[in-house]
Amino acid sequence: MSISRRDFLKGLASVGSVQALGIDLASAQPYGQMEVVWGGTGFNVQFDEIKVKLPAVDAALEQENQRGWSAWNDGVLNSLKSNFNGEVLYGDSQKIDSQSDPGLIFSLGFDYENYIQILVPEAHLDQDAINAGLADNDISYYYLFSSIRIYSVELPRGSGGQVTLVYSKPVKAAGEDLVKKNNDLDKSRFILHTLMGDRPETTLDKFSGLASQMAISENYFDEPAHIQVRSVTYEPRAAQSFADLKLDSVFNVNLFASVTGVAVNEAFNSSVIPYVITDYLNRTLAIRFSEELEMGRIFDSMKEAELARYFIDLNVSKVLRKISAENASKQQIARGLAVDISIFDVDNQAVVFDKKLVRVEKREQVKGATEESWYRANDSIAFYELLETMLASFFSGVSTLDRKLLNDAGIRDKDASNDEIKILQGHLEKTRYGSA
Amino acid sequence: MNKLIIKSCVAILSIALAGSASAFNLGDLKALGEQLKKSVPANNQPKQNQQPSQQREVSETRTGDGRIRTVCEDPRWGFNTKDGTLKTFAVGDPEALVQKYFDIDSTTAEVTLRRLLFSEDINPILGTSWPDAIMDGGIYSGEARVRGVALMKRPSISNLAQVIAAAEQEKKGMTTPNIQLYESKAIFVMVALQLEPILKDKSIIASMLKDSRKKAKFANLTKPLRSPMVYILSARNALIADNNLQAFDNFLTTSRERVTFDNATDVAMLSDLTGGCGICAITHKGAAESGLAGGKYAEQRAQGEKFLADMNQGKAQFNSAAWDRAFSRVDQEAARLDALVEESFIQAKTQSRAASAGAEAARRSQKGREIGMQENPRVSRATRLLRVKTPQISDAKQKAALVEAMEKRYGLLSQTDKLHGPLMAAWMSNDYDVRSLRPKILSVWELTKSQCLATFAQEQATEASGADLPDPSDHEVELDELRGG
Repeated sequence: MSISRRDFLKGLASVGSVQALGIDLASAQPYGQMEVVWGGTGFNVQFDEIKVKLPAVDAALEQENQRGWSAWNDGVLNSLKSNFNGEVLYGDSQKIDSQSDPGLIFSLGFDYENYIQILVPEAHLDQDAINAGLADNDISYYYLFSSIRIYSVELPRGSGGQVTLVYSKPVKAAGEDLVKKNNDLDKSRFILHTLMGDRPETTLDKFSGLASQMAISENYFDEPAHIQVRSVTYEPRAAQSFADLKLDSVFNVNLFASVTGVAVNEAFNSSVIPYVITDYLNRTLAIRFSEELEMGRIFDSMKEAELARYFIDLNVSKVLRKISAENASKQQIARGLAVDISIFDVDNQAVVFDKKLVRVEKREQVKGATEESWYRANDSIAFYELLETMLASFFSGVSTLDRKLLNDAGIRDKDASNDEIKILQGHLEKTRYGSA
Repeated sequence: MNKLIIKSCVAILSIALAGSASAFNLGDLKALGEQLKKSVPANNQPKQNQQPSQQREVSETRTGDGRIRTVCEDPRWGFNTKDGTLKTFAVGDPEALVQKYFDIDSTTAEVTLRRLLFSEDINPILGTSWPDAIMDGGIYSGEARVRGVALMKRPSISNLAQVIAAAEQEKKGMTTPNIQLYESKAIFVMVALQLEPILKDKSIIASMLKDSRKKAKFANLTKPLRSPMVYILSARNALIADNNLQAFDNFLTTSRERVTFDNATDVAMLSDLTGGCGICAITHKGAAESGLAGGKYAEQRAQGEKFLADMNQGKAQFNSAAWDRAFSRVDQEAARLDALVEESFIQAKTQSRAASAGAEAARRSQKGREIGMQENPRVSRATRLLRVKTPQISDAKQKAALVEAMEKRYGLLSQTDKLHGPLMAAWMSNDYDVRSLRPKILSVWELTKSQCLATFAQEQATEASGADLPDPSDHEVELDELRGG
């Protein structure tokens, strides 16, 4: 069991107090000699599911003889070099010497993506729409969830090695753009722009931000109490509702887990272990070393699922989508979700919180579009934003003890007392990076 | 309003006379005219129909300020969706009720309904476009018709659910029910025929028609009567769907039975005043021209023509150049206004035509042609306005133009109404050959119907550009629904 290893690591964590990310920079001590290695990118889904669950980013990176991969790897390595306040060892193609001390290893895994197109009919566009480029393009949205993971690696010198997951940060990047109709190259351009375009809030930008923060606050041996979404289940009626709306493939377990991971991370700076654990990233990391087999064994021995101190279990209880009002030209669509959330403390083998989150949002929608996809896309975007708001409100509300935010997530005063919220807050604070 | 009704009554009587001469005699006609003169003034105010038997709770809602601006809003003509009293059924779950009969996705329901209801393809059993059929004079009950008109004005799950709820009413007790009960089923059949591509169980058409082929009370008439629309739909369904000529003949004959107006108190709502049963007329004409039933119908028509010729012998032709010019002017202005309004709706997407491929559809269409199918160009033109999505216009200038176009439309309706006057006077004088009046009367009525359809579309656009939706933050009901077990 990993508890003994965690205890061991805690024992080592006497080097100094660790400051959480976002701390007062003036008081931060630079770690000028810190060394870091870029470990690589992988997919947090099974290998044969990559083209099914993450087809857009996979295609974009593979496009044109893997030019995307090349640009992405260069991008993250250069970002690490320019943002990390320390030395970046080993280039992308160099093998890491198994006898060296690589310090921290950064890696990034793709968790979940959702690509939505609002198909704009070619016929009967007015001049304004044509001028806006809608004759040749569709309005496209893209969400990409990833996990940046930072490992501390103790190489096997005599008594075996040790890999410590220092921090696992889920990040979300989103893009909206006009994408040329039926043009894979332009779609890839849009995906790569969301991934690493020259703008804020891309995956690369978030990676850069973390790299620059790590340089002032990292402690090699600290390991927070990680949290992980353990299960996402659906009541049959909820699953049927998503199926009826033709959204079941989008609102899958990966989406719920990814949105929850980002929400808890953003509220508490929690270290969140990805919902799906595969050995793909570990293998990617292992082959970075000169002694692949030996390192492979070390990475294999690190069972990340066992690292979680807290588990989140979600049960999608109800899905609501109905026309709440309409006039001749517009409909007001009410969309809502009810999700049971349960948080489990592994150490004490106890459920520390178990409530129902509910949220309803009403949006106006112009009637008369002839394309079914237009309605699906609207539903997809609206339900996604609703889910994101609900979970962000919940975790932020717990973090700040803000009843208004909690109410936005459907937790009324009578549903959970301030004491209950404070207890949960205390638990989740333990997952804050640097809190160990 | 009295004036309008009297004018229209007289005009439509001319149609009845011309189209059904074989079923009339002069004595009946005279009695009918006398009855009309007596009863029309008494019917100035809308009358309350007899309460139908019902399964669901019915509520009456005032839908406007009660001001009747045009014939298209007059409850006595069945067009009371804007102003007047609208009876609505309490339907707990409209989506579930609709999905009981139709395979329809609630998300895209409005698109699907608009595409199918206003399809350019004429359903052979209906024999004319769906909007034209809904406004056909073969329906007596304004209360039944109004639900079809409401669906026409706003194709939605909730309005379709009202049509179904009305059709699901059952007769209560032993008393003869109001004809609304049976004609509500006929309205459902008309809707179901037009929505056939998404109709789950096609046998519902025959069974619903069977349930409605009964005598019912209407307008306080001494004798109960049958709905011409129910029987003509039954006739066309028998021939086209079942290939049953005998049943066709029986139902067609019944559909053409004349009403005895004894004791009638609500003559304005009787079908002959709204153009008569147009589908009955085209069916009889089509059957005659196709030589069905060994030429029986052709013979009937020939007898009718002969009767009319005898009756009108020596009478003058109605060929007023002034009237012709006035009609032509109104007709052209209507066309110009329709084009203008259509252009203002141009941003709306065109709807794909309903698919009607396959051997069965071809066979049915062929059968339909044999017994008459019509496509009224004026109605088609106006239906195009309904087919496109209702635009929401926010630009102040465009809004003003929309209001102006609406006022012009009301003005045109008034001018259309005035065209009835000379025709009425000609008929009342008994000096003119009704055969020279007939085409003019029908033309004015078709123009009136198309004007009403265009009015519906324009009113929707005007309403759409002004009406706000409720506060989106008011969602306690939905939250409770989500929290509930």
